[in-house]
Amino acid sequence: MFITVFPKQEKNRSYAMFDGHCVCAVTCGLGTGEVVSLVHEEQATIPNFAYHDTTVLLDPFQTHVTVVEESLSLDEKKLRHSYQILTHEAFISAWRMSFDKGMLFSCDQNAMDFCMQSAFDAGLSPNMVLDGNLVWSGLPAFFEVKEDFPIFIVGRGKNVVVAFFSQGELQEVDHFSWDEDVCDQASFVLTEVIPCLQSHGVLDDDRTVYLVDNCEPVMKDLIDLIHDKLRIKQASVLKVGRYVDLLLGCLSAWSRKNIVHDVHAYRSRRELPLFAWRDVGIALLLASLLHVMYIWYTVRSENVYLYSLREDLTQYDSVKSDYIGVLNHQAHSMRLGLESFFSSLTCSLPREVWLTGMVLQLDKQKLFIQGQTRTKINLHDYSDSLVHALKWSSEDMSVFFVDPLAMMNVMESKKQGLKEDQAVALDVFQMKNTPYIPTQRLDSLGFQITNLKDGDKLLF
Amino acid sequence: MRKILRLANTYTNVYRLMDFLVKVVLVLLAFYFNWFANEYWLGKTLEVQKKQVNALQQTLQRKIQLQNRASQVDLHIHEGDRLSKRALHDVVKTGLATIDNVDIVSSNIEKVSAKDTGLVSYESFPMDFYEVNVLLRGRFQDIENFYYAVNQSYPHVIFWKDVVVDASKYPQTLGAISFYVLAK
Repeated sequence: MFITVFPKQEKNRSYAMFDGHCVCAVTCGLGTGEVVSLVHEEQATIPNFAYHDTTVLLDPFQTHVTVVEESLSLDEKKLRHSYQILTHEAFISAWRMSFDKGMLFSCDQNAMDFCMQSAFDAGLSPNMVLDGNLVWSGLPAFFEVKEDFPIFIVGRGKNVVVAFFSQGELQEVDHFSWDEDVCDQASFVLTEVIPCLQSHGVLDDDRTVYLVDNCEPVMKDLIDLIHDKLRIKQASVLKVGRYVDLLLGCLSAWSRKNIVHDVHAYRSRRELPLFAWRDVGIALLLASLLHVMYIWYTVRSENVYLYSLREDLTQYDSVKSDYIGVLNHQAHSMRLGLESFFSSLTCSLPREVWLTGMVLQLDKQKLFIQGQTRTKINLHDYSDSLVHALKWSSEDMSVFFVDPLAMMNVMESKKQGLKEDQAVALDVFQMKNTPYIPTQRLDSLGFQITNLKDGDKLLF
Repeated sequence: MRKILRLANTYTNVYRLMDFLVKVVLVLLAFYFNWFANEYWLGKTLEVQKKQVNALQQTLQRKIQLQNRASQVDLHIHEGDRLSKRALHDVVKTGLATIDNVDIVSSNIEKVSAKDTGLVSYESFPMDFYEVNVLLRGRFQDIENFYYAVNQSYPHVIFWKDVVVDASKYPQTLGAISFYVLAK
């Protein structure tokens, strides 16, 4: 039945009222107030109907009216709390005519259920339900009455509505119901309607009473009584074909006037936002445009980067190479020679010391020296001079005093390393340290100077 | 479907809901189309560009390395730094000739790949080193003299690997000297 809201209908709003199984609908433009269509249909689908923005109006003869001569709050909770008659009503609506005058409309659950069921059966999904008495605002416009204080009387079944206007605006609506078991029609008019008109100064102030002849029996009797028998000179009869024509005309005139500003309906539902097709189209266009721009920017950035790389390359075109290889820094230090090391090894050696073994590995930057001394002397200066000659860091150098009987046989390991394919590891830390006791006789004391860390081994 | 619509109808305007869903689907389709375009159009262009960028970056990297290497003059290996095996034998012979009363325990020359020694960071062609190991028996001064003689014969061409001295059985002292020379 539907897929989406068409662009032409996006800014339309429809008002619908139910008269039995018929629906009276008016569709008008929201911004312009222009009436797009008037429909009185029994069909399921209503042409030009704004299904997305529907306001359903309750049957005005099904609601109860209360005139309030005080400041009226438009808050539902406060209203229900202030007026006991509204406490259990299914629907309430408040009109604020002025600061100290207003009207309350309400209807019971049955009338509300009938209205909603009729709406659902007609395929409508109303956003809002308003009181139907609003449409009486359109009576002067529909009948083209330009008086300041007209009064309209409309009848339907056994109900009569009297609508009072002031300066063209609806001021009051009074409802009367005739109960044939209580009195006859003449008594009803004389005891209910006439006093109401009198209370508003109709007979004294020369206000015109318009009796709307909508072919309803009740109106015929009223016209007969008020106009023909009582001969009230201010009474005037307006003719209209059918009740639904009147309803449709008033609805159209009211929707054109758009006077819902002071009306509060307590039957609003969640309203999803309606994104106009034009806006969606613009958004999609913008998104696509942004995407194209993004692609253009990315490709351009890459091109700029490529260009800058090519520019950079031109700077290195003039590099010449007349060498066949490059050494690493370690190899360079191995090429510097050992002259200063040999000088330090022999010239800086303390007098009480004789060396028994030395391993210097320039490729691995390892140094191991072992020897013997008569007494425990400072050998750190000697080790510092050695690493200084080699231009190594002196932080890793350590001096250990060890048992002289357990010196390492370094040459044996070297020989073994030359013979075998695999590297031979020599653990220099396997010797135990000997504590120095000054009182005890000691021929000599072993020592080790090395930059090997604990756990490291000499590899040959 | 009708049940869902009826259920939705009690909470909101189903026409608006459908309209919203249609537009959301449309927007998603547009995004998918953009993604598709991105993947197949921009993707291919970027792939080609990325390959060019990678190739240029590699070339640039090589050129920068080349310049860095060119600036490290001390580390350059020139053709004249390489020695033939015959010249190497002469060097060892010269070294040994300078010292008296020395026993040569052993001496050997092995060829090893420059890459295996880890001493070369760049080589324009695969190069080799001669690894020379000489084992001597004599005094410490003899070992020292051998070093001086060899080092003076080709300064800055010999890469000294290690020196081992064992004087634990003094006066007999054993010494081992190892060094590398770039092979011609």
